[in-house]
Parts: sequence; C-alpha cells; structure tokens
Amino acid sequence: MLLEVKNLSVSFPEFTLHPVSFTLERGEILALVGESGSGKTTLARAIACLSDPMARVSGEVLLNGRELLGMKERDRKPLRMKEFALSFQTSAEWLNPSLTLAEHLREVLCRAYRGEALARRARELMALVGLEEGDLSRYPRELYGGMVQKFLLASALALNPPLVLLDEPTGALDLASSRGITALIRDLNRKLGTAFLIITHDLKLASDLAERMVVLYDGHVEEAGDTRAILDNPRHPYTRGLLQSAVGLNPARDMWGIRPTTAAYTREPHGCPFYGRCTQSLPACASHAPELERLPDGRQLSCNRGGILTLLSCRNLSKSFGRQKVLENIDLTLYSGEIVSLVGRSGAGKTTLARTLAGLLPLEGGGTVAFQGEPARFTDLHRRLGGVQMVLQDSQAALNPRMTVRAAVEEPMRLTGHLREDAAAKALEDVGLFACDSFFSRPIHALSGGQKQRVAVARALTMEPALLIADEPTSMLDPSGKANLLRMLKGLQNSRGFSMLMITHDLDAALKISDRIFLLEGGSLRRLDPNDHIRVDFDRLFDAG
Amino acid sequence: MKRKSWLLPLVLLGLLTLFFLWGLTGYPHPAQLPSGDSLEAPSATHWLGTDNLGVDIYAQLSAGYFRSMGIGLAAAAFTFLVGGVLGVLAGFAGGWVDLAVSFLIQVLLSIPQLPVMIVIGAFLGQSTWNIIWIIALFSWAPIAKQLRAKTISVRRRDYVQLARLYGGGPWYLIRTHIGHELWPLLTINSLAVVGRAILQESSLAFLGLSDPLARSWGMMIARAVDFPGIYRTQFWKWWILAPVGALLLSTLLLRLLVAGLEQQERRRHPCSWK
Repeated sequence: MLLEVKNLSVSFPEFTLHPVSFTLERGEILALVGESGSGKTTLARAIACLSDPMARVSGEVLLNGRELLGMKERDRKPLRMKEFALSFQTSAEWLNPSLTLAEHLREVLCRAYRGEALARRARELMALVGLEEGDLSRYPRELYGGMVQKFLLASALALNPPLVLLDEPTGALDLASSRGITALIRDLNRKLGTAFLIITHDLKLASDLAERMVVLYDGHVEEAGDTRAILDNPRHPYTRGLLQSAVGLNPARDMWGIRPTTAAYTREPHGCPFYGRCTQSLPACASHAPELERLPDGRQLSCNRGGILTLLSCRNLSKSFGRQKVLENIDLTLYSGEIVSLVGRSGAGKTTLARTLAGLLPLEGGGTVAFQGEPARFTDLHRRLGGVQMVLQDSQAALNPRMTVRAAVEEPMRLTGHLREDAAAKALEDVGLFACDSFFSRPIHALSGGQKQRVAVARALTMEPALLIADEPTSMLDPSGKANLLRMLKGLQNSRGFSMLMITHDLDAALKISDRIFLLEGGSLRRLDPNDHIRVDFDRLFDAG
Repeated sequence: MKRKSWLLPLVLLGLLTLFFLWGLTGYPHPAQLPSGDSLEAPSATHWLGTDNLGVDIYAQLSAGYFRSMGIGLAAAAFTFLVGGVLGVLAGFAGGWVDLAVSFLIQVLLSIPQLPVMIVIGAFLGQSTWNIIWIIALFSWAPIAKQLRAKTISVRRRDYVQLARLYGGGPWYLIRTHIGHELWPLLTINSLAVVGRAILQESSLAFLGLSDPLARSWGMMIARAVDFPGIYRTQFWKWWILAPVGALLLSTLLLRLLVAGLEQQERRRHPCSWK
C-alpha cells in the first residue's frame, strides 16, 4: 500500500474537513471529487504537509508505512519530490517569473542528477510531457495554460516519485489541452506505474482516469467507491446531483445544478452537510450527521437515509388484453428525486405500464408494486400528500370543462381533505399560470390546450406528490409550449425533489430532461444510454490544426 | 348572438293558460251544467257555443285544459323521478342492478303501449289517478334508457375516473361531474312527456276509460263524434274543432318549447362549487 490516509481532519476557524480515510495502491489513480469549497484542496495540502499554519491537522498520513504528519520537516524534505510530488491548481503562481523552465527543473533535479545527466533528464522530461526542448529556455510568462500545466507535471515527475498529487490538472484549460493532459496522465500511469491522486470537480476527468473515487462535500466524504459503479448508479443524492450537472458526461441533457439550499445558514455542529440541498432530507438530518458506512458492495456512503431512496419498484409486471400480451415480466425501480422517461412506439404499452404503476389498472399474475418499500396501496397513495399523482395523456378529458379553474385545481384537495389556503394559487404560479381571481373563476373550456395541460399538472402538484406519473404531457403542445412545459416540470422537479415518470414517444424531449431512459419494446423494458446513440464530435474543434 | 327560440312557445303557452284560466274563473258559465240551449252556435254569450246538453264548450275546454295539463305534469314528474333515478342507478352501479333495470326498460319498450294501457285502464277502473299511473308507467322507460347510456359515457371520462380516485363518492360524482350532463336531458325529456301524456289521456278518454264525471278533451270529442249525423250539421265546427284545436295547439306549443330548450342546452355553462 502506497498511501494510507487515516482519519485525516483539518480545521480552520471557518471550515472543517471532517475525518477522511482512504488508501491508494501503487500505480492506482484515485479521484477526489466535489464542488468548490468541498475541502478537496485542503485535503491535498494536508496530505502534502503544506497546510496553512492556522489549520489544526489531526489524523495520520502513511506513505509507504511511514507517518508524514508527525515527522519533522527536516526529515520530510528528502521525501518531497522523490517519494511524492504535487502540482497545484493555480499553477502559474508556483513558478518564479524570473527563472527559465530549465532553471526550474534544475532546482529539483540537482538533488539526484549532476552535469550532463541533469540536462539529459530535463530534455527527457520535456519530451515525456510533450513539450519542446527549446521551451526549456523560455520564461513562465511566455507559456500558455496548457504548457504550464504540462511543465508542472514534468517537474512533479522529475525525480520519478511513485505518487503524484494533482490539484485540478485541467481546471483552466481548453478542451484540446485538457484532453492532452488526460491522455498524458493515463500514459504516465501506464508507463511509469506512477500513482496519481487527482483532485477535481470535473467528473468527466475523474471518470476518464480514476478507477476509484471519493466524493467530498463541505468537508465530508459523502460517497466513495468504484468509479464505474458510482457513475452508473450513484447512491448519494449529492453524487447524483454532481452527475446531473456534468454536461461532459451526457451532452444531450439539459444542465441542472443541485438546488440552492433551503436551510438557513447555521453551522449545526452535527448535522448532515447536505441537508438543505438534499431533496429527501428529514428534519432529523439537520441535527444528526450521518456516519460513513461501508455497504455490502464495497461502496462507502454517508447518508442518514441509506442513500437515494427507492420510491417505487415493480417486479414481474405482466399485462395482457385478451390474448395479446402487452407487458411481460417488467422490473422497474424508480428512485426519489429523478426523472425517468419511458419511451417507445405508439402501442408499445407505455400507457398501460404507467396506468398499472399508478394503480389505475389492476395487477395481473404475480406482479408486485412496492412504494417506498411497502406493497403499494394505490387508493391511499392517490389520496394522501406525498403519494403518487397522475397527469393523464389527454388533458382535454382530464378536466371537467364545466368547472372553473379553482374548482378543478382544488378538487383533489377537497376530496381528500387536504385543502389548504393558497395551495392552489401556489401550484398555479409554479406551473406558470396566473393566480388571480379572474383566472380562478374562468371555466376550463375557455382555456387553451397548453393552459389546460398546465392546470392538469398544477392539480396534481397540489397533492405534493413524491411521484408524478405524466403520460405524454406534451403531446398536445406546440414546440414552444412543449419546451416551456418540460423546463417547468424539470425545474419543479429539481427544486421540489419529487420523482417523475414521463411517458413519451418524443425521444428528443426525453433526452433533454431525463436522468434515465427506458425503452419499452415487445413487452419488455431496456435501459437506454443516450451516449450509445449520440456522438458528439466537437472535441476536435480546438485541436491545433 | 343568442337565439332564445324557446321564448315564443313559452309566451304563447302562458297566454293559452291565461285564456283558459279566464274560462275557469271569470267566465259566467259552468263546465258541468247546462247554461243555454242545446247546440247553440258561438255567440257573445257562449263564445264557443254549447253542446247537445246545452253545456258551454269554452267552459268545458277550460276545465279540460287544466285537467290535461295536470295529468301531463303529474306523469312528467313521475317520469322525471323514476326515469332519472333508475337510469342513473343502472348506469352508475352497473352489475346486476344495471341488468335488472335494463331488462325492465327493454320489456316496457317492447310492449305495444295503447292496447296494454286500455287493458290496464279497463282493469283498474275509471279514475284520474289511474290514468296518471298508466301514462307514467309507460313514459319513464325511454328516458331511463337515455340517461343510463349517458351516465355510462360520462362515468368513463378521465376526470370522473380521477375524481373517483381521489375518493369522490357516487353522490359527489353525480352532483359535480355527471349531473350537469344529465340534467338537461332529464328535464327536457320529462317536459316532452307532458305533451305526450295530454295526447294519451285524450286517447284513453276518447275510448271512455277516463273519469266519466271529469271534463276532458278526449271525452268531448268522443261525445261529439257519437252524436248521430254530426258531420251533416254545422255543429262539428264548434263542438269537434274546438277541442281538437285546443289539443293540437297545446301539444304543439309544448313540443316547440322542448325543441327550443334542447337547442339552448347545446350552449353549455360552466359550473362552480357554489
């Protein structure tokens, strides 16, 4: 084991990095990901024993079994560059503007090389990272960002250390340069067997390079484990939020960041750091910080609710009309806070599946539907807040044309006894309609198709559903109305955190807003990865011609 | 522009009612007793002349109008209640209730009405209430059938299904979502029953199955027609034409009123909670 970090914790008066533990094998690449301010750099500096003097550092950092933190700097110094090296985020600041690159390299190399060997090693290093030998005589100000990054990598590698810490190695670079750096790191890792600890907020970089990753948020490790597994199936709401914001991973999808915090700023000493931005948080999360726990599959997760909740799951769902089998042994799991699209040709059974999941059609055979872990009792789910609500395909038929807008929107609340002041007005405002008296008293038949669709959505939202099943919500709308409604739905989903199952034949729309897409074909479901079908080819635009 | 085509028939019907109301209250001659000579031609004293017994025709017509209308309205009310309740019940409840009601409807629709009415009328005896029951018995079935079909079609609509899902009970669904669609169908069809009932009552009275003591248009016609050689005299001009005209006019006006209301109903009104 090359590097072992045990309960490393750093505290500043205004920020605390809570105990972090991880290990790094020889020749492995590990990524520390998290958004700005999550404590990535603090952690890297602490490992390199370069923490701010103000900081109180505790815990252990073992490099090849030797404890670094407790060591005297005099003993540590020989290890620097030789045993571990690091390159920092604001890279140019680490270069002396009055020294040439050759002189920078000499400062490091002189510890191991002399004379001609030193010059040869310098040239070797330049070639290794893809710089020209002639660049050695340049000054830092003459370099552009990508070159600085490459040069810093070269100087970090100068003494061939087994471990290199890279803080945002591609942070300020354009696409082509960052691809170059990525390829270089992978190459060096393969050729020299150098282990890298990469600190980044760029999930694409992490997913390209690292075998394992650690997700940090506000000084806490939220999730850690195998990169592929985390990307395919994030278990922490924060990780999923990060993934959803990463355009690079899914170019077709609309960008949506994690919602801003709803909690007032109080640094609760023991609360979950993600509490205010998490869409599945309980009041208890504000006062009780979760422990990092190891799951059976080896992943580490820190969440009071055991990670992203499973909202609805169906097993072995089959359905046939007469002799015609429409659905066969469908298994589907919906997690809280995600948009899942069900696509397929007309007549593929999409609406049948949706209606069965909503309990509008009876279950057949051995099929089961569970809601939040318990067998679904549909009548109750439709009649309570935080249950399942359905927006039907034909909004013309879903609303009584003789009712007024108020009567239609308030009907579910009145019938279920959940009528609250202003809930109808809030729902109407949420869907971008007016909440004035004149609109409230307008009859449904006097509304346009788009308005009816929105009223139908508002009506479902008044019940504050945990799961909204929307059957072709945009089929009656013109392109602009469709775009507005979908963005409105996605925005509501993002801020309120409910889950949505959207049934549509419109793949383009599904690509834009869905977290996962399933194709219903021949009675069975198949997960659709848009990246298998979409090729984005503009990476090369910036390639030096 | 809203055309109120039901307004004119309604006004005319109102005038007709006033006209006959005068015959019942302000007019000096009684409807039951002779007040002049036998078979007097229309004159200033006897507006529409007298019959063979010297009883004033206008007074008889007036009495007959309110009797016919009364019978018609009573039959309509019965139809409204029974047809409405059974139709909605069958459409809403489904299952064996639907089967039973539908069977009853089919039976009533397939029976030839007048012969059976005559048999029942003869069996029950001559009384106004019996006439009402008999007419009502045969008039609710078509309405119940229509209402049942409409109820089923409305009940299948998405918004009704959703309201049901949210826990709306039968009474709520009917009141809020289904009733508004059924109401015009029910009222207009019931109103149409009034016209038909007047005709049926006249038919039964013509055949002598009505209360012999009451004044009825059908009975007037029957007695006039029975008068030997009436068509060879001038008497038919007031004795027969007057009740036949009154019968035609009142049923025509009722029919026009119903048609106008049906047309009006195609323009829908929104409902609200209040």
